[in-house]
Amino acid sequence: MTLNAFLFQALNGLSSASGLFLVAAGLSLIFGVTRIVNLAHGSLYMLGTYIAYSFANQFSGALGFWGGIVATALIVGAIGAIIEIVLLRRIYRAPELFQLLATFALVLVINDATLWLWGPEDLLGPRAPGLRGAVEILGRHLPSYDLFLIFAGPVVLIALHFALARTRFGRLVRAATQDREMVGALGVNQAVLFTSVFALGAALAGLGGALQVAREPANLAMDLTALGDAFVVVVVGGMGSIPGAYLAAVVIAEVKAICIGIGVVDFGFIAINFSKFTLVAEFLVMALVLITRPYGLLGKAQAAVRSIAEPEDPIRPASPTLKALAALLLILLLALPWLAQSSPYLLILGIDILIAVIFATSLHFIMGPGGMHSFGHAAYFGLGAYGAGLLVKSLGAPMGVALVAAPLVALAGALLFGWFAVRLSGVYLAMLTLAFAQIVWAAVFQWEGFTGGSNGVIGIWPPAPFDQSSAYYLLTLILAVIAVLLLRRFLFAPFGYAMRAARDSSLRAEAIGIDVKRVQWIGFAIAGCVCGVAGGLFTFAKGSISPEAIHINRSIDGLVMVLLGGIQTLTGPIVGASLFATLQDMVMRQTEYWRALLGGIILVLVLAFPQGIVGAFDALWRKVGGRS
Amino acid sequence: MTAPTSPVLALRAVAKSFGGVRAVDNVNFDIGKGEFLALIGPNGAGKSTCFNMINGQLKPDSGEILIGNDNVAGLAPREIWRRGVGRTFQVAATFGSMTVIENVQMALLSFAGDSYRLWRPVAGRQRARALELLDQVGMADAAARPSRELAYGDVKRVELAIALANDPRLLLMDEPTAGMAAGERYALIELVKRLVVERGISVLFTEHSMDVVFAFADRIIVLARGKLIADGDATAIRDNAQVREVYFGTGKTFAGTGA
Repeated sequence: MTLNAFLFQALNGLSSASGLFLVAAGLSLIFGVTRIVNLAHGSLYMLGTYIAYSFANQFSGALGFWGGIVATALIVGAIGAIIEIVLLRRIYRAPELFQLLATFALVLVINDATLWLWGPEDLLGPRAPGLRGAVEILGRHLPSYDLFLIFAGPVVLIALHFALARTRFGRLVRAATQDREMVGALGVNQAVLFTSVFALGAALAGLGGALQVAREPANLAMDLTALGDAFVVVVVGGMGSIPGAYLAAVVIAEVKAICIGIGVVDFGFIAINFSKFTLVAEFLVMALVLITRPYGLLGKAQAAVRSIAEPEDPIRPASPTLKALAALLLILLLALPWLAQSSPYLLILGIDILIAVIFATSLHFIMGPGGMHSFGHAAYFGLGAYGAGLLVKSLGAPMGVALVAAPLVALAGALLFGWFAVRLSGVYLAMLTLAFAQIVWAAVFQWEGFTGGSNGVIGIWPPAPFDQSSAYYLLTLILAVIAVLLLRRFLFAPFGYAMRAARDSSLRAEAIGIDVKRVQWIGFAIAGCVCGVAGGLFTFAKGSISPEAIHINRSIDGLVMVLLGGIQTLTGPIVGASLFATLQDMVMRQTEYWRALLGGIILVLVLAFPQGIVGAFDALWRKVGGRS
Repeated sequence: MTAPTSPVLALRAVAKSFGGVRAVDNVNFDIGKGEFLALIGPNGAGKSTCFNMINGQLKPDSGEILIGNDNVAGLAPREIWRRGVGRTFQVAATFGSMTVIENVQMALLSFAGDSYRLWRPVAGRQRARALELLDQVGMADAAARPSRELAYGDVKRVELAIALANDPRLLLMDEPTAGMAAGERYALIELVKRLVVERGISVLFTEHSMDVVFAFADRIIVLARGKLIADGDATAIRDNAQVREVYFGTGKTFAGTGA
C-alpha cells in the first residue's frame, strides 16, 4: 500500500468514526447519569436511519434531507424521553439486571415495530443534496458526504464539551455522573435531569443513525450491530467519558479502515486477506486496551457496583423430598418417549427444553454463584454448535467426536474471552461479554468460506439410531442430567465456595489467599465448556447451525431464563429454562411478531415485579405463611 | 524500648505519595515476636496507607517491607497472606452467603491449597479444625448460622477466627473495635490478646479508642502527616510533648480520653 493510499484509507476511517462516536457518546452519557446500560440504544440509532429515510423520500430536496436529519434527531430524542418517563423511571430502584432486561425488551419491541412500519426490505436513502459529488484528495475521489461526516463528529464532540463544561445542565450532568445520590440530596430535580439526559442521548443516537441514511441502507439488523459497536467503543474509550468515546471511535474505525486498505497480502507461502479481519482487528484493539487500561483509554476506575439481589442463603444439599421429586421427574422424563408416542412433537419440544436447561444452568453457574453477569453466553453456545457442525462438514467426523469436540471448542473460547472478562466486573463485564459474543457472531457471519456465512452449516443430521427423535431425546436427557449434576457438584465443592467467596467479598477472599481473578476465570471457562455441550446438541437436533441461532437474542434468552427461575436458587435455572422454552415455543407459533410479544411479556414481568420475580414470590410466600 | 533481635515485620524507609501529598514519608519500625503494637495518629496521618501497604493493597513508592527475610513490598494481598499474615478489616468482612463455619472452612481450605478442588463437598472438609477455631473465639454455638445474620460484634469474632486459619505469625487489625459498644470492645481485645499470647503471634493494630490502646498495647507508634513521630510504651507516649501537640494542639493530656 502506498503512502497516499494509506492516508486515504485513514480519511475513510475518520468518517466512519463520526457515526460510531455519536452512538457511543449517547450510550456513555446515559450510563454516566442514570447508571442504566441502554441496550435499546442501537435500536434508537436504527430508528434514526429509518425515520431520516422517510423524511428524505417524503420531502425531496435539501430541506427534506437536511431538515429531515435534524427532525429525526428531535423525534428520536422525544422517543427517548417517552421511554424514560413511561418505563425506566419505574425501575431505577430495581436490580441492575432487570433494567437491562427492560431495555432489551425494548429492542425486541422496536425491531418488530420497525418491521411493521417499514417492511423487511433494506431501504437506501437518496444521496445528500449539495454533497452528491466527490472531492479529489491524494489522487483519489472521496465522496463529499464522507468529508462532511469527518467534520460532523468533532463538531458534535466540541458542542457536547461546551454544553457539559459551561451550562447549568452540563454541570448537573457531570455532578450526577460523579455522585448521583449527592445531586439528589442537594435538591436537584432528578426526574427532569434523567429525562433530559436520556432524551439527549437518544437524540445523539438518532442523529448518528440519520446521518448514515445516505451511506448505507436501513435494515433490521442495524440495531444490534450498532449496539455491539457502541459497546466496544465505550469499553475502549472508558465508560462515561465523551472524549474517550471519540478517541476510541477513531482508533477502532482507523484500524478497520486500514485492514480493508491493506487488502490481500501475499506472504509467499500464504496469502492473507486482511479485509476479512476487520472484526478480529477490532477485538485485538479492545484486548490490548483492556490489558493496559482496564477502564478504557480515558475512563476511571468504576465505583462499587450495586448488588443485583439480597444476599442469599447458604446453599444446602437437596432435602430428601427434593431428591425424591427429582428422581420421580427423571423417571418420568426417561419414560417420555413411550408416553408421548401419539404426539411426537412433545419430544422435539423436550429436546429444546433440555438444551435450554444446559444453557441456562451453565449461565447461572457464573451469574449466580460467580457473580459475573455474562451478556454473551451465546458465544460459547455458538462455538460448540459451529465446532460440532464444522467438524462433521469439513472433516467428516462422526457425531460422537463432534459432541466431544463441541465443549472443547467452547472451552477454548471461554478461556480466551474469560481472561479479559474477569478483569472487569459489573456492567463493564456484561458489556465486554456481549461484545465478545458479537465478535463470534460476526466472525461466523463474515467468514463465509469456512462457516457458510449467513446460510450457516446445513445437513448435520445425527446417524442412526439417533435420527429417531426418541433416541436423540434420550441422549440429550442423559447429557443434560450429567451437566446439571456436575455443575451442582462443583458448587458444593471448595471451588464453588471459592467462587462465592470471591463474589461475596473479593477483599476478604484475597485476604485469605484466594486468587479471585483466577477462580473467576476458571469458573467462566467451566460455564463456557458446559454451554458448548448445549451448542453441539443443538446443531444435531436442528440439522444445521446458522448465525441467527447464536445471535445476541440467545444470550438474552439465557438471562431471562435465569432471572425467571430465580438467580439465588440452584434449581432456578432449570425451572426458568423449562418455563421460558415452553413459553417461547407457544408464542412463536402464534404470531409473526413474536419478538414484540416476547418483549411485551418481559416488560410486563419487569414492571409488575420490579424487585425481581423470585423476590415477589418470596414476599408473597411470607405473607401467606404469616396469615395461616 | 526493647529492640527485638529478629523482627517479624520491619518497615525500612517506606514512602508513598498520592499526587503531591506524601501520605507516608520515610517510615521505619519493627515488630518483634509476640508484640502487641498499636499504630495511632490523628485522621489523615497515614495509618491506613501504611496498613494497606503492609497487607499488599497498595504498593509503596520506595522502601522495603520485610516479613521475616522477604521483602514483600508490592506483592498481592494473597501472597502476603501466604507468608503468614492474617488480616481483619475496619468494616468486618465475611462471606454473607455462607454459614459461620463455612467461612472458617473456606479460609482453612485456602490455606491447605484446596480452593480449586471440584469434587468432594466442603461439608466434609476441615470441619473439626474450623469448629476448634470457632470455639476459641466463642462462636462455636453459632457455627450453622448464616454469617450475615450475626450481630456486628459476633462478625468481628468470626473474622478473627478466619484470620487465625493460616496460623499467622502476624495479625493486622484495622480498627478492630470500630463500631462496637464499650463493653464489647474490651472483651474483643482481651480475646485477641489472650489468643496471640498463647500462640506467640505478633499484632499490629490501628485504633482510635485511646483507652484500648493504652490498656493493651505493649508498644505504641505514632504517625502524624505521614511521619513517624514517636515510638515507645504507653507512659512514654503519654508524656511525649510532640504527640500531645499533634493530638490536642497543646497542654492537654490523654487522661480520660475514650474517644
